[in-house]
Amino acid sequence: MLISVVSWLPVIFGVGFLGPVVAALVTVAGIDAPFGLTPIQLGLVAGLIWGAIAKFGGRWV
Amino acid sequence: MSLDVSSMSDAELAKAERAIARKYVGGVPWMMVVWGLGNFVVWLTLWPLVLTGVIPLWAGFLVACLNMSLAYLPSHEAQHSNIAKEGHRLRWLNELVGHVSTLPLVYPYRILRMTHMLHHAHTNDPDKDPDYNNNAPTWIGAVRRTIASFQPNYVDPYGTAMQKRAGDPAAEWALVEAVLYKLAFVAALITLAWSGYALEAFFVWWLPSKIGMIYLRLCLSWAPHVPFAEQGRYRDTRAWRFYGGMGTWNVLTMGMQYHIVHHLHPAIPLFRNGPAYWEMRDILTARGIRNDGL
Repeated sequence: MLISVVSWLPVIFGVGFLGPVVAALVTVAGIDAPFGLTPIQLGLVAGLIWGAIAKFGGRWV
Repeated sequence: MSLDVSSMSDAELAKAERAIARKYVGGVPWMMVVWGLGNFVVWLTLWPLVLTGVIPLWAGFLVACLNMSLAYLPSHEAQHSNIAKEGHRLRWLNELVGHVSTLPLVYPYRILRMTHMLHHAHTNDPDKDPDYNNNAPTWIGAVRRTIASFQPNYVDPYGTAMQKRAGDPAAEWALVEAVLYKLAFVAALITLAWSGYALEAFFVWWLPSKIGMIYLRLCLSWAPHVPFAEQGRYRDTRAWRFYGGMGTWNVLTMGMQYHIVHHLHPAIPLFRNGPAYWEMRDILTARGIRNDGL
Protein backbone atom coordinates (compact mmCIF):
# COMPACT_ATOMS: atom_id res chain seq x y z
CA MET A 1 0.00 0.00 0.00
CA LEU A 2 2.73 2.44 1.11
CA ILE A 3 4.94 1.56 -1.87
CA SER A 4 2.01 1.98 -4.24
CA VAL A 5 1.26 5.45 -2.87
CA VAL A 6 4.92 6.44 -3.04
CA SER A 7 5.22 5.29 -6.65
CA TRP A 8 2.36 7.64 -7.62
CA LEU A 9 3.67 10.49 -5.48
CA PRO A 10 4.86 12.59 -8.45
CA VAL A 11 1.34 12.61 -9.92
CA ILE A 12 -0.25 13.26 -6.51
CA PHE A 13 2.25 16.08 -5.92
CA GLY A 14 1.71 17.47 -9.40
CA VAL A 15 -2.07 17.61 -9.19
CA GLY A 16 -2.41 18.27 -5.47
CA PHE A 17 0.32 20.84 -4.96
CA LEU A 18 1.78 22.11 -8.22
CA GLY A 19 -1.72 22.59 -9.66
CA PRO A 20 -2.80 25.14 -7.05
CA VAL A 21 0.67 26.75 -7.12
CA VAL A 22 0.48 27.26 -10.89
CA ALA A 23 -3.07 28.61 -10.51
CA ALA A 24 -1.97 31.05 -7.82
CA LEU A 25 1.03 32.21 -9.88
CA VAL A 26 -1.17 32.74 -12.97
CA THR A 27 -3.64 34.73 -10.86
CA VAL A 28 -0.96 36.87 -9.19
CA ALA A 29 0.72 37.55 -12.54
CA GLY A 30 -2.62 38.57 -14.07
CA ILE A 31 -2.17 36.17 -16.97
CA ASP A 32 -5.24 34.92 -18.82
CA ALA A 33 -5.35 31.11 -19.00
CA PRO A 34 -5.64 29.83 -22.61
CA PHE A 35 -8.65 28.04 -24.11
CA GLY A 36 -10.99 29.77 -21.70
CA LEU A 37 -9.73 27.74 -18.75
CA THR A 38 -9.90 29.09 -15.23
CA PRO A 39 -6.56 29.41 -13.39
CA ILE A 40 -7.22 26.31 -11.30
CA GLN A 41 -8.21 24.29 -14.36
CA LEU A 42 -4.99 25.35 -16.07
CA GLY A 43 -3.02 24.50 -12.91
CA LEU A 44 -4.57 21.05 -12.63
CA VAL A 45 -3.86 20.23 -16.28
CA ALA A 46 -0.27 21.48 -15.96
CA GLY A 47 0.22 19.65 -12.66
CA LEU A 48 -1.18 16.41 -14.06
CA ILE A 49 1.01 16.53 -17.17
CA TRP A 50 4.15 17.53 -15.23
CA GLY A 51 3.48 14.90 -12.56
CA ALA A 52 2.93 12.21 -15.20
CA ILE A 53 6.16 13.20 -16.96
CA ALA A 54 7.98 12.97 -13.62
CA LYS A 55 6.49 9.58 -12.79
CA PHE A 56 7.06 7.93 -16.14
CA GLY A 57 10.19 9.88 -17.18
CA GLY A 58 11.79 9.82 -13.75
CA ARG A 59 12.66 13.51 -13.66
CA TRP A 60 10.94 16.80 -12.85
CA VAL A 61 13.56 18.82 -14.73
CA MET B 1 53.07 26.57 23.74
CA SER B 2 54.21 25.07 20.44
CA LEU B 3 55.27 21.46 20.16
CA ASP B 4 58.39 20.29 18.35
CA VAL B 5 56.59 17.68 16.30
CA SER B 6 59.58 16.90 14.07
CA SER B 7 61.13 14.54 16.60
CA MET B 8 57.90 12.88 17.74
CA SER B 9 56.96 9.32 16.86
CA ASP B 10 53.51 8.42 15.50
CA ALA B 11 52.49 7.17 18.93
CA GLU B 12 53.63 10.42 20.56
CA LEU B 13 51.82 12.48 17.96
CA ALA B 14 48.63 10.48 18.50
CA LYS B 15 48.91 10.90 22.26
CA ALA B 16 49.49 14.65 21.99
CA GLU B 17 46.57 14.99 19.55
CA ARG B 18 44.25 13.13 21.89
CA ALA B 19 45.38 15.26 24.85
CA ILE B 20 44.49 18.43 22.97
CA ALA B 21 41.16 17.00 21.79
CA ARG B 22 40.18 16.08 25.35
CA LYS B 23 40.43 19.72 26.37
CA TYR B 24 37.65 20.63 23.94
CA VAL B 25 35.27 17.79 24.78
CA GLY B 26 32.63 17.94 27.47
CA GLY B 27 29.86 20.12 28.83
CA VAL B 28 26.54 20.81 27.18
CA PRO B 29 26.98 22.90 24.02
CA TRP B 30 24.05 25.17 24.84
CA MET B 31 24.66 27.28 21.75
CA MET B 32 23.71 24.29 19.58
CA VAL B 33 20.58 23.68 21.69
CA VAL B 34 19.46 27.30 21.35
CA TRP B 35 20.40 27.27 17.66
CA GLY B 36 18.41 24.12 16.91
CA LEU B 37 15.27 24.83 18.91
CA GLY B 38 15.36 28.59 18.22
CA ASN B 39 15.69 28.10 14.48
CA PHE B 40 12.70 25.75 14.51
CA VAL B 41 10.59 28.21 16.53
CA VAL B 42 11.50 31.07 14.15
CA TRP B 43 10.44 28.97 11.16
CA LEU B 44 7.16 28.02 12.87
CA THR B 45 6.53 31.66 13.74
CA LEU B 46 6.96 32.58 10.08
CA TRP B 47 3.73 30.79 9.21
CA PRO B 48 1.21 32.95 11.11
CA LEU B 49 3.22 36.06 10.23
CA VAL B 50 3.14 35.27 6.51
CA LEU B 51 -0.40 33.85 6.44
CA THR B 52 -1.81 36.96 8.15
CA GLY B 53 0.23 39.30 5.98
CA VAL B 54 2.23 40.77 8.87
CA ILE B 55 5.37 40.17 6.84
CA PRO B 56 5.45 39.95 3.03
CA LEU B 57 5.93 36.61 1.35
CA TRP B 58 9.30 37.55 -0.14
CA ALA B 59 10.65 38.32 3.36
CA GLY B 60 9.21 35.06 4.66
CA PHE B 61 10.93 33.24 1.82
CA LEU B 62 14.33 34.75 2.66
CA VAL B 63 13.99 33.93 6.36
CA ALA B 64 12.82 30.39 5.53
CA CYS B 65 15.89 29.85 3.30
CA LEU B 66 18.06 30.86 6.26
CA ASN B 67 16.07 28.54 8.56
CA MET B 68 16.58 25.59 6.23
CA SER B 69 20.30 26.27 5.92
CA LEU B 70 20.61 26.36 9.70
CA ALA B 71 18.43 23.31 10.34
CA TYR B 72 20.94 20.50 10.07
CA LEU B 73 23.96 21.19 12.28
CA PRO B 74 22.22 21.10 15.69
CA SER B 75 20.81 17.69 14.74
CA HIS B 76 24.32 16.71 13.69
CA GLU B 77 25.58 17.45 17.21
CA ALA B 78 22.77 15.30 18.59
CA GLN B 79 23.62 12.48 16.16
CA HIS B 80 27.04 12.35 17.84
CA SER B 81 25.42 12.62 21.31
CA ASN B 82 27.43 15.80 21.86
CA ILE B 83 24.59 17.52 23.69
CA ALA B 84 24.15 14.66 26.18
CA LYS B 85 25.42 11.10 26.09
CA GLU B 86 23.30 8.00 26.74
CA GLY B 87 22.46 7.92 30.45
CA HIS B 88 23.02 11.66 31.00
CA ARG B 89 20.13 13.46 32.73
CA LEU B 90 19.78 15.72 29.66
CA ARG B 91 19.71 12.87 27.16
CA TRP B 92 16.09 13.81 26.38
CA LEU B 93 17.33 17.24 25.27
CA ASN B 94 19.88 15.65 22.94
CA GLU B 95 17.12 13.60 21.32
CA LEU B 96 14.69 16.55 21.23
CA VAL B 97 17.20 18.74 19.38
CA GLY B 98 18.03 15.85 17.06
CA HIS B 99 14.41 15.29 16.10
CA VAL B 100 13.12 18.85 16.06
CA SER B 101 15.86 20.79 14.31
CA THR B 102 15.59 18.95 10.98
CA LEU B 103 11.78 18.93 10.85
CA PRO B 104 11.65 21.91 8.45
CA LEU B 105 13.88 19.94 6.06
CA VAL B 106 11.61 16.92 6.48
CA TYR B 107 14.59 14.72 7.29
CA PRO B 108 14.03 12.28 10.18
CA TYR B 109 16.66 12.11 12.89
CA ARG B 110 16.99 8.32 13.07
CA ILE B 111 17.95 7.76 9.45
CA LEU B 112 20.25 10.78 9.55
CA ARG B 113 22.03 9.41 12.61
CA MET B 114 22.41 5.88 11.24
CA THR B 115 23.67 6.97 7.85
CA HIS B 116 25.96 9.58 9.38
CA MET B 117 27.65 6.95 11.51
CA LEU B 118 28.17 4.93 8.32
CA HIS B 119 29.66 8.03 6.70
CA HIS B 120 32.16 8.37 9.54
CA ALA B 121 33.05 4.68 9.50
CA HIS B 122 33.52 4.49 5.72
CA THR B 123 34.26 8.04 4.55
CA ASN B 124 34.82 8.20 0.78
CA ASP B 125 34.22 4.47 0.29
CA PRO B 126 32.12 4.35 -2.91
CA ASP B 127 30.18 1.31 -1.71
CA LYS B 128 29.76 2.00 1.99
CA ASP B 129 29.70 5.78 2.48
CA PRO B 130 26.07 6.97 2.07
CA ASP B 131 27.36 10.49 1.39
CA TYR B 132 29.67 9.40 -1.44
CA ASN B 133 26.92 10.35 -3.89
CA ASN B 134 27.78 14.00 -3.29
CA ASN B 135 31.10 13.57 -5.08
CA ALA B 136 31.65 15.83 -8.06
CA PRO B 137 34.75 17.50 -9.46
CA THR B 138 33.35 21.03 -9.21
CA TRP B 139 30.93 22.89 -6.94
CA ILE B 140 28.45 23.31 -9.76
CA GLY B 141 28.63 19.55 -10.30
CA ALA B 142 27.80 19.10 -6.62
CA VAL B 143 24.78 21.38 -7.01
CA ARG B 144 23.64 19.27 -9.98
CA ARG B 145 24.06 16.12 -7.86
CA THR B 146 21.77 17.55 -5.21
CA ILE B 147 19.18 18.59 -7.80
CA ALA B 148 19.37 15.06 -9.18
CA SER B 149 18.53 13.79 -5.71
CA PHE B 150 15.17 15.59 -5.91
CA GLN B 151 14.11 13.58 -8.95
CA PRO B 152 11.71 10.61 -8.72
CA ASN B 153 14.21 8.24 -10.34
CA TYR B 154 16.90 8.96 -7.73
CA VAL B 155 18.05 5.92 -5.79
CA ASP B 156 18.57 7.36 -2.31
CA PRO B 157 21.76 5.93 -0.79
CA TYR B 158 20.31 6.51 2.67
CA GLY B 159 17.43 4.20 1.80
CA THR B 160 19.83 1.70 0.24
CA ALA B 161 21.97 1.73 3.38
CA MET B 162 18.92 0.94 5.51
CA GLN B 163 17.80 -1.82 3.14
CA LYS B 164 21.23 -3.44 3.48
CA ARG B 165 20.43 -3.80 7.16
CA ALA B 166 17.23 -5.74 6.55
CA GLY B 167 16.30 -7.65 9.70
CA ASP B 168 17.53 -4.84 11.92
CA PRO B 169 14.31 -3.43 13.45
CA ALA B 170 15.91 -0.01 14.03
CA ALA B 171 16.95 0.30 10.38
CA GLU B 172 13.58 -0.95 9.15
CA TRP B 173 11.73 1.54 11.33
CA ALA B 174 14.04 4.37 10.24
CA LEU B 175 13.17 3.59 6.63
CA VAL B 176 9.42 3.48 7.31
CA GLU B 177 9.71 6.72 9.27
CA ALA B 178 11.48 8.40 6.34
CA VAL B 179 8.67 7.36 3.98
CA LEU B 180 6.03 8.58 6.45
CA TYR B 181 7.83 11.93 6.74
CA LYS B 182 7.78 12.28 2.96
CA LEU B 183 4.07 11.42 2.74
CA ALA B 184 3.23 13.78 5.62
CA PHE B 185 5.17 16.55 3.87
CA VAL B 186 3.25 16.12 0.63
CA ALA B 187 -0.05 15.88 2.56
CA ALA B 188 0.74 19.10 4.43
CA LEU B 189 1.67 20.92 1.21
CA ILE B 190 -1.53 19.77 -0.51
CA THR B 191 -3.67 20.74 2.50
CA LEU B 192 -2.12 24.21 2.61
CA ALA B 193 -2.45 24.62 -1.16
CA TRP B 194 -6.15 23.71 -1.21
CA SER B 195 -6.78 25.97 1.78
CA GLY B 196 -5.74 28.97 -0.28
CA TYR B 197 -2.10 29.08 0.79
CA ALA B 198 -0.38 27.52 -2.22
CA LEU B 199 2.21 30.27 -2.68
CA GLU B 200 2.91 30.42 1.05
CA ALA B 201 3.51 26.65 1.15
CA PHE B 202 5.74 26.91 -1.91
CA PHE B 203 7.83 29.88 -0.74
CA VAL B 204 8.00 29.20 3.00
CA TRP B 205 8.54 25.45 2.89
CA TRP B 206 9.02 23.61 -0.40
CA LEU B 207 11.43 25.90 -2.26
CA PRO B 208 13.47 26.92 0.82
CA SER B 209 13.88 23.24 1.74
CA LYS B 210 15.41 22.56 -1.68
CA ILE B 211 17.68 25.62 -1.52
CA GLY B 212 18.70 24.64 2.01
CA MET B 213 19.57 21.10 0.92
CA ILE B 214 21.72 22.41 -1.94
CA TYR B 215 23.61 24.70 0.43
CA LEU B 216 23.99 22.03 3.13
CA ARG B 217 25.29 19.35 0.81
CA LEU B 218 27.67 21.77 -0.84
CA CYS B 219 29.11 23.13 2.38
CA LEU B 220 28.87 20.20 4.76
CA SER B 221 29.50 17.25 2.47
CA TRP B 222 31.10 18.25 -0.81
CA ALA B 223 33.56 20.95 0.26
CA PRO B 224 35.20 19.07 3.16
CA HIS B 225 35.61 15.81 1.21
CA VAL B 226 36.27 16.83 -2.38
CA PRO B 227 37.70 15.11 -4.44
CA PHE B 228 36.37 12.06 -2.50
CA ALA B 229 39.40 10.12 -3.69
CA GLU B 230 41.21 9.15 -0.51
CA GLN B 231 40.32 7.10 2.52
CA GLY B 232 41.98 6.88 5.90
CA ARG B 233 41.80 8.86 9.11
CA TYR B 234 44.00 11.77 8.06
CA ARG B 235 43.23 11.84 4.34
CA ASP B 236 39.47 11.41 3.86
CA THR B 237 38.63 14.95 4.99
CA ARG B 238 40.48 18.19 4.35
CA ALA B 239 41.16 21.43 6.12
CA TRP B 240 40.36 24.19 3.67
CA ARG B 241 40.06 27.92 3.39
CA PHE B 242 37.01 29.41 1.72
CA TYR B 243 38.46 32.13 -0.50
CA GLY B 244 41.07 34.06 1.49
CA GLY B 245 39.12 34.80 4.57
CA MET B 246 38.21 33.58 7.96
CA GLY B 247 35.58 35.24 10.15
CA THR B 248 32.61 35.91 7.89
CA TRP B 249 33.70 33.23 5.46
CA ASN B 250 33.87 30.70 8.26
CA VAL B 251 30.34 31.66 9.30
CA LEU B 252 29.15 31.28 5.71
CA THR B 253 30.60 27.79 5.59
CA MET B 254 29.23 27.14 9.09
CA GLY B 255 32.65 26.16 10.42
CA MET B 256 33.21 23.46 7.82
CA GLN B 257 36.73 24.69 7.06
CA TYR B 258 37.64 22.78 10.24
CA HIS B 259 35.67 19.64 9.35
CA ILE B 260 38.88 17.60 9.56
CA VAL B 261 38.78 18.07 13.35
CA HIS B 262 35.20 16.79 13.44
CA HIS B 263 36.15 13.61 11.59
CA LEU B 264 39.14 13.02 13.83
CA HIS B 265 37.34 13.88 17.08
CA PRO B 266 33.55 13.88 16.59
CA ALA B 267 32.92 14.50 20.30
CA ILE B 268 34.25 18.06 19.96
CA PRO B 269 31.26 20.41 19.46
CA LEU B 270 31.10 22.43 16.25
CA PHE B 271 32.11 25.80 17.65
CA ARG B 272 35.23 24.38 19.32
CA ASN B 273 36.56 22.77 16.14
CA GLY B 274 38.34 25.97 15.10
CA PRO B 275 40.28 26.51 18.35
CA ALA B 276 41.08 22.79 18.51
CA TYR B 277 42.37 22.89 14.94
CA TRP B 278 44.76 25.75 15.57
CA GLU B 279 46.09 24.09 18.70
CA MET B 280 46.71 20.74 17.00
CA ARG B 281 47.58 22.09 13.56
CA ASP B 282 51.29 21.22 13.71
CA ILE B 283 50.46 17.69 14.82
CA LEU B 284 47.92 17.28 12.05
CA THR B 285 50.45 18.56 9.52
CA ALA B 286 52.96 16.00 10.79
CA ARG B 287 50.29 13.32 10.44
CA GLY B 288 49.90 14.25 6.79
CA ILE B 289 46.43 15.76 6.59
CA ARG B 290 45.15 17.32 3.41
CA ASN B 291 45.33 21.05 3.95
CA ASP B 292 44.09 23.43 1.28
CA GLY B 293 45.32 26.71 2.67
CA LEU B 294 44.14 26.72 6.29
